[in-house]
Amino acid sequence: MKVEKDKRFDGVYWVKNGKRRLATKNLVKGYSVYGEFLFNINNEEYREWIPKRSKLAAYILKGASEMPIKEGDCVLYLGAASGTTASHISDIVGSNGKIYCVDVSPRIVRELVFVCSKKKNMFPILADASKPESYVGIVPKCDIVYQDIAQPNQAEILIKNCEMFLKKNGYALFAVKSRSIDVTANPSKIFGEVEKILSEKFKILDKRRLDPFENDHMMFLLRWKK
Amino acid sequence: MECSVIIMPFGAFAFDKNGKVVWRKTFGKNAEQCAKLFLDTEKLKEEIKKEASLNNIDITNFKEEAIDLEKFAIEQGVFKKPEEFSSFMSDFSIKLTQLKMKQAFSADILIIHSILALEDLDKIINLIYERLSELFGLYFPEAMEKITSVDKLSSILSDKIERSEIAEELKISEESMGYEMKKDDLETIQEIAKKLDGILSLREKISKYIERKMEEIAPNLSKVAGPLLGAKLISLANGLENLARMPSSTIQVLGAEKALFRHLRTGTKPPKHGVILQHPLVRNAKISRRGRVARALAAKIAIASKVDFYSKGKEIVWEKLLKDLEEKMKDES
Repeated sequence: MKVEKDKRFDGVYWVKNGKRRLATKNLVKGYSVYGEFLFNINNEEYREWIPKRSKLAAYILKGASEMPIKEGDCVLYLGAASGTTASHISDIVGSNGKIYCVDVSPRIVRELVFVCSKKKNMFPILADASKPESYVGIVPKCDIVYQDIAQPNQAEILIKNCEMFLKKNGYALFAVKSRSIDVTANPSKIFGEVEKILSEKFKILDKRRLDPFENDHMMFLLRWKK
Repeated sequence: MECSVIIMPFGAFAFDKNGKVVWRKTFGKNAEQCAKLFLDTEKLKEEIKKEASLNNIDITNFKEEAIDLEKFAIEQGVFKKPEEFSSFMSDFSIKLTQLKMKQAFSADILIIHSILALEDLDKIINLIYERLSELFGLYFPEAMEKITSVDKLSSILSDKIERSEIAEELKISEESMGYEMKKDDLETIQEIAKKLDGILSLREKISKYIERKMEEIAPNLSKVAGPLLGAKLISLANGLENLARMPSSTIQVLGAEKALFRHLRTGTKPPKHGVILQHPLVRNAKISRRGRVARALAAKIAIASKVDFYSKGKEIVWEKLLKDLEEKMKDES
């Protein structure tokens, strides 16, 4: 078993064990969040990062042009769900970084609280991402906004949150699910419309479809124009 | 002095026009206490206003602005080190979320899960009934021929299993072409029958429980749609609040999503009804009239659920709704 750093992105590793697997260095040793494999190599522990479970991993495997999340960053994560992707971001930003995990569903936040009580750099917030004023005192200005929510007005919600919480020239990672905007329409058409809305406020650095890991999804890498 | 205030997890800070802190009230370093304060922000704002005015600070507004909390907290000397701030924020956000979780669910979540449990039980009952009738039919096919319902099979077999006893009960001949079984074989079959009987009585109990719960939370919906159908609609809408916000046209096709989306995608005929087909009015209507009946019923269900949710189950209007519905049906036929 061998491990090597990703050539372009800090905090991202490849574990070679017959298969090449994406991984991150585990911040809390021995803790597996969603049943992923843990690899012990040279006294360091690595967590497998499964692209079918995490859209950010899928984006990296599809050849991301840039990965803005770095050690020590402060991230606002909208639609954290049970903390699958958020836990990997927590590994990347390390103990000096912070992730504010917002989710609206109490059922799923129940699991998120358990993850956050283990990973001390993740902070759970039970709130509606379309109402950023409800968590404005708790979340500071962030380096990165990551959004993965299934709402028809995803793009507006992202802009609303970025206006409040994104630092000057900050990045946003935005996973769009075309089916939650309109199931019947053609995905490419929807992505085009979303892009139009985004381009008013952001510089679009990269966009990538996430098939075969996720159907009808697109990841946008954006930079705030302000 | 006029100033604006930002409320942060560790305290409220008043800023003057130049952004200088002119007054502050810290909440202490106990994360749990801070979280409790944050649970009711309106009350917290009132208290801060009161306390500020005692200190000759006139609060003009509460600013909704995100700032670099960590830097600010350390500048203000609330925390000495970044690690201290991090661990406070971790405790604070977890505690606040835990407190919010306590208020996040309402009683309709019980109805949703109970109606789903009822459906699970129906599946289990069918499976076991199939297996039991196969086994018992092996032993006494003539008796199996006479027994037609699940309840009857499970109640007979749970106290009698010998051919002679069952023949007496059903008043048929003891003669059988069935396979001869030993005591051990028969006892095993009886054990299955007893369990099935237990599941049937559990189903009965849960169904009664749903009726009681519906009467308490959604009395009008329970009367207009029937308790079990009403519960099913709540579960499909994912909560009474969502159901109350739905237009009647959506309620009409709840449970027929497959047909509805096929219609939207490919332009086939739209569905006339979803689960409200289970309602006797719709089910007993002529097929050609079902669409119209379903539409009228869905309209009444929409009204009933709105009344139930917004009056918290206190207002009673179902008598009028049912009367209207009846008259409408008369006009149509």
